[in-house]
Amino acid sequence: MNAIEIKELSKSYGNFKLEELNIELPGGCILGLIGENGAGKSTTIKLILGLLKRDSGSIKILGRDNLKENRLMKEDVGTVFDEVGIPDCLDARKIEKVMRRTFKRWNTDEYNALLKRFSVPTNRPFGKLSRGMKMKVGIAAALSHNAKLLLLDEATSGLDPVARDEFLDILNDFTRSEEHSVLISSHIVSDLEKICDYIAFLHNGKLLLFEEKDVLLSEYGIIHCPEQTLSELSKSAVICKKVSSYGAEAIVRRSEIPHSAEISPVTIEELFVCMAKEGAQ
Amino acid sequence: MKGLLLKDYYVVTRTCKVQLLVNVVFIIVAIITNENDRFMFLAVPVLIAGDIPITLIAIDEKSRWTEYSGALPYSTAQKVLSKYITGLIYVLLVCGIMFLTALCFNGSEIPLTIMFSLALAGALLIPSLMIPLCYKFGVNNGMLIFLILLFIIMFIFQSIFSTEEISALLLKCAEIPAPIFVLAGIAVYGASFGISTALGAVRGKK
Repeated sequence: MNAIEIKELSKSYGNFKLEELNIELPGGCILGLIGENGAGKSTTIKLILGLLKRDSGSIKILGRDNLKENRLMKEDVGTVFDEVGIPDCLDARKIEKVMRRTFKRWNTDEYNALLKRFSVPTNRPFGKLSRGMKMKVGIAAALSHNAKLLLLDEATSGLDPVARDEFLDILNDFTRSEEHSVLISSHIVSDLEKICDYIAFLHNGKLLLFEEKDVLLSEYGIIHCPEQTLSELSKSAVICKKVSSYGAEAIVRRSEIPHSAEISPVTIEELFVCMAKEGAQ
Repeated sequence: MKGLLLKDYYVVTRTCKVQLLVNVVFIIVAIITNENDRFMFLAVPVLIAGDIPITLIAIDEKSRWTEYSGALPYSTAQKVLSKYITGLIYVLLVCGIMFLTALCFNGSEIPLTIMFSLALAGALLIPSLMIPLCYKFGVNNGMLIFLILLFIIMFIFQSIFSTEEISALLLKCAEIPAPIFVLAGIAVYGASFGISTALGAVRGKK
């Protein structure tokens, strides 16, 4: 069963328009949603949760319509927003008491274990925690009610590199079960590259690309060559190029480049920046 | 909905300490003041208590709980109801304390039940008008619109009725059985909950 099935999803408000989004995330996988500010990442997550009203299209979460069975769906979904959203006066123990009365499958032991693992003080008010600590509390809450799907909107922002690495390990552990999936949006593309099975590029509300990460990395590469050589390649082979007095550098489709050419691996970040700049399809 | 009520309880007890202090100050002033002014000092905290749901909504907005609670398995009606229940409990609690204080030190001629029924009705009426506006326009804009509406209503009222007529009307009110005020206040409060739920659902899903 797919964890997320988004079909022809559209939403517009003000000057922003999310256009005909199509995404399918299989169970047990991690999807990285990459996009610059205002690309539509948070809007997508809010549409999934039913916090925004869609203009058209459909969303199924774990086989259920996200609007018709909204409350049931949220029992199975753990969410962390970029601003966690917990009142300043609550400490971790009080948050546990609130969540215990909120989720049917709340697991206090799991929550306490995560707090201990993250070294979060349980008696300090939320407002007096650092941004990283706040994020950890949010993550602990999202992981402690036996959720089958995690929606993480910039959840790694504010975490130091060690905590981020630990968090990514937790996500990897979480998705060992085929029942568990993750949708994570982040500006830190290197994090997503480490853990994601699928990558979606959003740019100005348009889905530029949705593909398995390994397929992307095997399909695209970088070549360094003289400008003249680059101009001899077919237009469809070159995704984007940078020309300087030292020569040319281009991200290319490996399948359309002569075998003799030396192609270096491309990173997801390089590919995204290239596609966003070119507005490529 | 127990989780929402518990969270609101924590927020009230942690962040509304100033209001609790105000209540104590008003009680002390009521005790030491002359008998004719006593009711006024005991009624004001009841009216102020009606403001609690607005404070809670403002704190929710500031802390982004409004957004976060959207990811929790609660309906819009439950989220709104939590504010109304917390507000009602708080108002009844303050009203009860003030009523007992008045009982101990009563010197007014007007029966206490009528006075406190009026105060209670007022404490329910004000948030009944304000909460839907806050859900529709946000707390800051909602309160501003409420004050403008209040000013317009008072201006119209003053234009239509003379001071003597208003005094006569208030005296007539004193003849109405006390439970009527309370029932009317609760009815308006209930209707306000329905409107807030509808507005909250619409505002949350622009």
